[in-house]
Amino acid sequence: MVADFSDLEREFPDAVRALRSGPLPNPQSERPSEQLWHSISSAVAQERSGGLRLVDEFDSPNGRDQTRFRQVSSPPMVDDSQRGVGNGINPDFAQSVAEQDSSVVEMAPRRLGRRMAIGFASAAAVILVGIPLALGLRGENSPGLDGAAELAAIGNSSADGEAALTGRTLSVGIDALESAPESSTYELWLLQVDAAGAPVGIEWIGTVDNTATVDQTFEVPAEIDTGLYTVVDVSIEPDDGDLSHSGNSILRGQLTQS
Amino acid sequence: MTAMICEMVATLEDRLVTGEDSALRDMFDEYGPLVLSICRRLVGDDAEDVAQQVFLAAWRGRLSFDPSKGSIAAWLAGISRFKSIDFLRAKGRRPSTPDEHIADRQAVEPAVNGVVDQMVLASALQTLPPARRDVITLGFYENLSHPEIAARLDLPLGTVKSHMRRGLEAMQRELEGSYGRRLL
Repeated sequence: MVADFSDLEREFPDAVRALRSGPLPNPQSERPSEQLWHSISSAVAQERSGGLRLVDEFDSPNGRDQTRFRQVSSPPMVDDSQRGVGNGINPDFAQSVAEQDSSVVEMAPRRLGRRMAIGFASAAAVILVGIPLALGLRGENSPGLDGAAELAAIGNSSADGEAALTGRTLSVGIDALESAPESSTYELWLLQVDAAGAPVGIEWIGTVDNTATVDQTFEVPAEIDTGLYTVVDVSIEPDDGDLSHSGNSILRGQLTQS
Repeated sequence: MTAMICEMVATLEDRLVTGEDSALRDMFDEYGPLVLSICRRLVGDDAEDVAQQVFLAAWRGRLSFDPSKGSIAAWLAGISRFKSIDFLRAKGRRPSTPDEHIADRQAVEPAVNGVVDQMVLASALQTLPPARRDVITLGFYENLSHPEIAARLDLPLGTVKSHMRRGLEAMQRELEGSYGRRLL
């Protein structure tokens, strides 16, 4: 590199370093397929419809004459426990619905991101309540456990709090909560842990108020088995479009049966 | 031509923020090759799956796009960066505790960042006005000095320096935009 670039290197260090790191690759070496577009647009359409959509001829082996509903499934990539995907719909219940009406199929038990969870929960309610009612059925979810948890601070947080689960209502109280970092929010999660205490499932529950004192209640979506998801976790989530857990938790506690 | 392209990009930015359906398709058509090329280099056979995640995350998080911090290309490259890191981390091991999340990210980040940085720069270089692109290419890949570039391109020395500075400025901005706010 010639001498008269040293000033530029000081001024634009990252660009100069990357330019010097070798020949630049072709940034358009591959054109995506229409199949990839279809998978993206289908997933977006499903999310927009709040988790339900009428399956079109693409999905139906018999063409348009088959009308059925299908639950949203998030696209495949990371394994479920990494993406905060829970066990989802009670399979016995899903099967009971399918057996009653063979046109209702493919209850893929996967979860959307946290910002879609409200719409998803509404849709799940349609599936879990509306359809069985219409069919004269009654679903049986895992009963779960009513319980309470002390929420202990993690890292540098000075906040503390408690959580209580009654049925599907999760109450959370927090004191001395610091202001969330700029462009971040506090988010509430339920974790499923294995015998060693390592999380094997993460589910988003809702957004926690960014106030010094928090007193909120959340409805736990029906597809989350509260008998398994027993650890309450509050994290800081940057507003970056990534819907998975940031790994930056500030409060956590184990629900114990009350 | 440049003005037309700028106008088209600005329109796409606007439509992206307002969530118009056409913006997703246009974004896929325009930047799908960049996203897929990045993913291919980082995760190989799983590139389509990760690219799908990138566009879904971009669509869900479209309000987080800030044109003042870089182009859509840089923004998508940034999402590709952390989606690929997530994927590589998940592939390498079983679920970790959330506390370990950051440590795992850091383990795979340097290699990913090296690849993504180069792709962002390559993409940015393509969008530079030709004179700036030529000056940077001659300076960095033919190791010519400013006077030598001036002679080669038959441009005043001051113009060469201006092209170099403005070109690098744009590329630096794109790199910074590709890191977004996620600086783990």
